[in-house]
Order: sequence, then structure tokens, then C-alpha cells
Amino acid sequence: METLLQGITSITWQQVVMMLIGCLLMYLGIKKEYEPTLLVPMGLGAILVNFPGTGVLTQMVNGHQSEGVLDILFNAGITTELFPLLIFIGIGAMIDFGPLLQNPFMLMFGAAAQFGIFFTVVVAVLFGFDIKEAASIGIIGAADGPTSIFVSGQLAANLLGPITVAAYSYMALVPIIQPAAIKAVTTKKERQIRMTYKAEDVSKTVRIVFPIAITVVAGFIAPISLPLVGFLMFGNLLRECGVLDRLSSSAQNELVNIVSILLGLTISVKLVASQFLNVQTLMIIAFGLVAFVMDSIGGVLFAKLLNLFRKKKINPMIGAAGISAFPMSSRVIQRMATDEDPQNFVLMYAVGANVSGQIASVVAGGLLLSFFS
Amino acid sequence: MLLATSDLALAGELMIFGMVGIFLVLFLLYIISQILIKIFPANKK
Repeated sequence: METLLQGITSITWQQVVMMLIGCLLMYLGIKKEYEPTLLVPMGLGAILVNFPGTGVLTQMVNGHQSEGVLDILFNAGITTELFPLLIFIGIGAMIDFGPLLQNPFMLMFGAAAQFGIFFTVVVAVLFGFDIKEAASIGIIGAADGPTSIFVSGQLAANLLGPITVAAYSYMALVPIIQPAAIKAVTTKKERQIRMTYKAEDVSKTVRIVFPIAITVVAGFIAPISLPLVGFLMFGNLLRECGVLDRLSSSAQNELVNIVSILLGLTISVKLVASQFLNVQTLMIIAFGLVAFVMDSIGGVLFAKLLNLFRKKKINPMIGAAGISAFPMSSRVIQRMATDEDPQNFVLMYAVGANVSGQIASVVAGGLLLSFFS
Repeated sequence: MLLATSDLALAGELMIFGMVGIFLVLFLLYIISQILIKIFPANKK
């Protein structure tokens, strides 16, 4: 009888709190549909890993080490960086560079909207994190889950759990965070700026050569970023080359789905109460918000700076779309533009900036890694 | 977690390196995409 009750009697309040956090993650994923592909597996995973003596983690049983399945998956897929990279192939296959290539200047907004990453690094250092931990916290501002996992896995694996939770949670909260940040630094008149859109066709050759060109540039400037950039662009090449539709479809569907299931569950290894419930985690969650807010502000201020020199003004909200959360950010910008002026249509510019953010976030991740290499 | 001034200096350096680097890379991609669009224009039917 004592053995049957051992689980209940030996559980700590911290483990109960983590199980409740797991329930919250599942609630957000299922009820609110916030990033459900990751939050639902992570939520259940948080419950699985917090039972006393849980079999999903490596345990000593009768003096012998019994390997837990989640530890095996973690060592195979996260420690080796395999899972985030495989997901990148699928994401690459989903990205349409068309709207960006129709307005290549939107690339600059992708760069500006990475400001939150580097700003947050400074903030985290000011609060006492060491430089590598601070860089891992800053990468939450990439608004790109796999990049956050990849970079923090290399620079501060001990912070992987809270960083992943923060990255995916804030990505889901973009519709709440961005309007507040944008309104803080723009006037109503600026948000009403109209932009005429002239659709230009992009040739198939340009679409094929573009991902290869990005790979070559990244290879020369930050070769350490090649796993990130190369896998993303490989996925895009599958999509655009026109002769590998079957592989492109598999990358976008089967590959991403299978790896997402494993990634979400596996990340929960880092949601063990003893590692997760501490002041550091709360600080990381707070700094993640700072990163997202400063990304949006950086993008908007860059657009406002350009407007000082341009005859044809840019709606500064476009700058905030230069984050990687696609297509959520561009939708938010269009909705805000319509709220201010029902006839204002800025969606295609916002999509261009948003796609640029997908490139810029992996480049930023690569630059962080190359700084420490 | 004590503030190390050397880390703060590194963070400032990282910020400059990162922002300059990212603008440089994306500006390069902008130039490349403009060149590609000029060399391989879309067929206008």
C-alpha cells in the first residue's frame, strides 16, 4: 500500500506548480489555439516529467541506471540540434519569398526589427546574467522558436526550458504585444499613412537563385550560421525548384509534423520543477517580453528615420512586421492599418517585411553564434 | 548573478556587431535580389 501511495506522498509543491503550468500551456494551445503544435506536447510533457520517480526521465532503479525515453530523445534531437534543424527544412519549404522579392527593400525592415535581440542582451547582462546566457535570452527576440532552441542549446543549455517557453508564448501573443508597442511610438496620423502597391512579377529563376544566394552570403559572412540558414534555404529550394514537389510537400507536412511532436515533448525535459521554478525563469520570461517589444519599436523607429529622407512616406507600422512571427505579424499590421483607416491596404508590404524577418532572425542567430566562435 | 563590467562591455560590442552585421547581410541580399531581378526579369505576357 505504501508503494502505491509513494507517488502522492513524495510529490513536492514545486512539482504540482509545474503540472499546473503544463495544464496552462495545454489550455493556451487547445482553447486559445496559441501555437498548439508546440504548447500541447510541451504541456503534457511538463506533467510527465514532474511525477516523483517518473519513468520518462533517467532514474536509478535498484542500483541500475534506467534511461528515460525523453532523455534519450533530448540527447538525440536537442543536444545534437537535429530537431530544430529538421524543422527548418519544413519552414523553408513553407516560405514564399515572392512578396519580399516584389519589394526587396523590405529586407531592411527585417534587419531593423532584430534590435530587440541585442537590446535584451544588454539588459540581461545588467541584471547579472553572463554574456552567453544573456545572448541566449536575447534570441527570444528572434520570434523564431527553432532559432531560439538552436542558439540557446549551444550557448546556455541550462536555460533552454524557460527560453523555449518564453519564445513560443510570446510568438502566440504577438497580436497583443505588437499593437501596444507600435501605438507607444507612433501617432494616429503616422498609422494612417497610405502606401500604393504596385505588384511586380518575379521570375522563376530569381526564386530559385535567391535561396542559393542567401546560403552563399551567409556561408562567407557567418559560416557558423550555415546549419540554420542552409537548412532553411534547402527547404525553400525544394519548394521553388519545381521538380521536387513531392519532397517539398513532405517537408511542409510529414517532416514538420513528426519533428514538432518530438520537439515539444522533448523540450519538456527542461521543465522539471527543480530546474524551472526559480527567479531566473521569471526574469527570462520578463526579458522575452522586452525583446519582443523592442523588436517592434526598433522596426517602427527605423521606418520613421527613413521617412525623414523619403518623399513617398512609409507607414511606420510596416517596420514592426520585420519579425519572424509569420504571418501573424503582417496580419496584425494590416488590422491596425484598417482600424485607423478602413481604406488603407498595407498587407503586401507587411508580408514582405515579415518574410524578411524570417531570414533576418536566422542571420541574427548565426551572428550571435559567430560572435562567440 | 553579479554584474560583470567585462560582460557589459562585451554586450555593447555584441550589439554593435549584431546590428551592423545584420544590416550588412540584408543590404547585401537587397543588392543581390535587385541584380537578380534585373538579370532574370519576369516574362510579361
